[in-house]
Amino acid sequence: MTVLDTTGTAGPGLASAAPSRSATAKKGLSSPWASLAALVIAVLWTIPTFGLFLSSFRPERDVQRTGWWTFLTNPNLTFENYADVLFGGSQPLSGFFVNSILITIPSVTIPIILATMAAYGFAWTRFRCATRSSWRSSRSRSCRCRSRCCPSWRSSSAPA
Amino acid sequence: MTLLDKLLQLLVAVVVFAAVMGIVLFVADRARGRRTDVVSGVAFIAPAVLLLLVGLLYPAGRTALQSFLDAGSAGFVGLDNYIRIFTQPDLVVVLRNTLLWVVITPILATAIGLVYAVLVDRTRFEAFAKALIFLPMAISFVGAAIIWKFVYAYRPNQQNIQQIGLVNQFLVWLGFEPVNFILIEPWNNLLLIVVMIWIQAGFAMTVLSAAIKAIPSDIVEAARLDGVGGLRLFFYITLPSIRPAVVVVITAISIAVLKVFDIVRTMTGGQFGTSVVANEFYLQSFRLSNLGMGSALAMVIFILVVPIVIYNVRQMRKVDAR
Repeated sequence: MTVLDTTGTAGPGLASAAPSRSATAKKGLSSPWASLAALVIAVLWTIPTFGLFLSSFRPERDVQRTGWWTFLTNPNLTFENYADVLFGGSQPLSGFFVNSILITIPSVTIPIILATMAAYGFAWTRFRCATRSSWRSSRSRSCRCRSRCCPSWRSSSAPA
Repeated sequence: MTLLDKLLQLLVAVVVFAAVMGIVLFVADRARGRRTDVVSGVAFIAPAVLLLLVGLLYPAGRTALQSFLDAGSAGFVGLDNYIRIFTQPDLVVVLRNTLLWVVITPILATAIGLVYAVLVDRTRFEAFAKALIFLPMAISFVGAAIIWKFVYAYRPNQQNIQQIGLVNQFLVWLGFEPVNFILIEPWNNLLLIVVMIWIQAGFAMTVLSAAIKAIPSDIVEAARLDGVGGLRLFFYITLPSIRPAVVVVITAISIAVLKVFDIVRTMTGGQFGTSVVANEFYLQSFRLSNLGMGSALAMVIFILVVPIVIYNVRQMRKVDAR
């Protein structure tokens, strides 16, 4: 869109046709069928989760015996399920939340640190049998992979 | 264990890790002399490589070895386990199901994700629309399986009994009898596959949307000036431009599908002819205590996944090089 707006060399016919096309693209989808298709897909994808969300607010008896759509006509709201799961019962979920946090924090930070170190080592250590094509093209073709790679520090100022 | 004990364990783990890393970096720094570069490079790479050796290569080797032993890992039976996988009827059914999963899921998930990404690209509600499709990815596989179990739920069509599953309710509203979908072989596999498509379409849509936005705008402008619009723009301009990304998405979803275990286990437990290789591997190893068979199934998954991974890495290099 910006290409057409800034160049003043477009002919009068093009100049009048182009802004209207960009305008329609910005306003909505290019055709009502596309809007309908996108809406159908979005609704289909959301319905199952929405059903579960509504079911979580219904009493147990209702969930076992009727479908969640009856909630829309005959709402019977209760927070009992949430209270039961989070705080009551023999195994409150709050304990499980703590476990999840305790597992997540190390299992995210430790691999990132290890991988960053290894990536730094791989990026800046010059292996004799490197497979990086950009690096290999600047070396002689006789450089073959030996049984033991000798890593050395790669720097632009150091002589080969 | 109280909360305090758990927090203390976390603290100890982090401190020990920091100390080990500090020692490694300190040793790398102190190295002087001719071989300083070697020591530095090796010190940086060593922790990751060591963990890979212990956590990946050694168990993989041990599993490969175990696949040639019998149930109690005592006697050598050669290729017996593998032969059974390909000849025993219920295991052949398992292989057939896995093939269905691997063929149907990536193609449909990528197609839906691609179509949706193109449809909502550069519209007003793009962020909200994408969030709706991406939401299932944030739900764990088990949660998704439970959601869909509710959708497929069946109640017999008698007086005073209402349907609680959405699909059966639609059938009843249309005047048909409710159907217990989970029991119908082999179509119940398709029902489980729908769950995976529901989840993975969000991933496909996100990656492909980024790829579509990366198409140079002058190509699209030139095409629009030529009068190309809509479907022809999609097939002649958009699709060829994002081809590497599409291949990466398809292979990534294939790898995820070969590992699917939770969905099958939660929805049917592997019964009614819906088991897949990953679920069967769990059954054999831990329920039937047949370690040899379980290891052989794990090796089959590995052999199936390796070519896809190699192809995926090569395609990703092409995407990066562009």
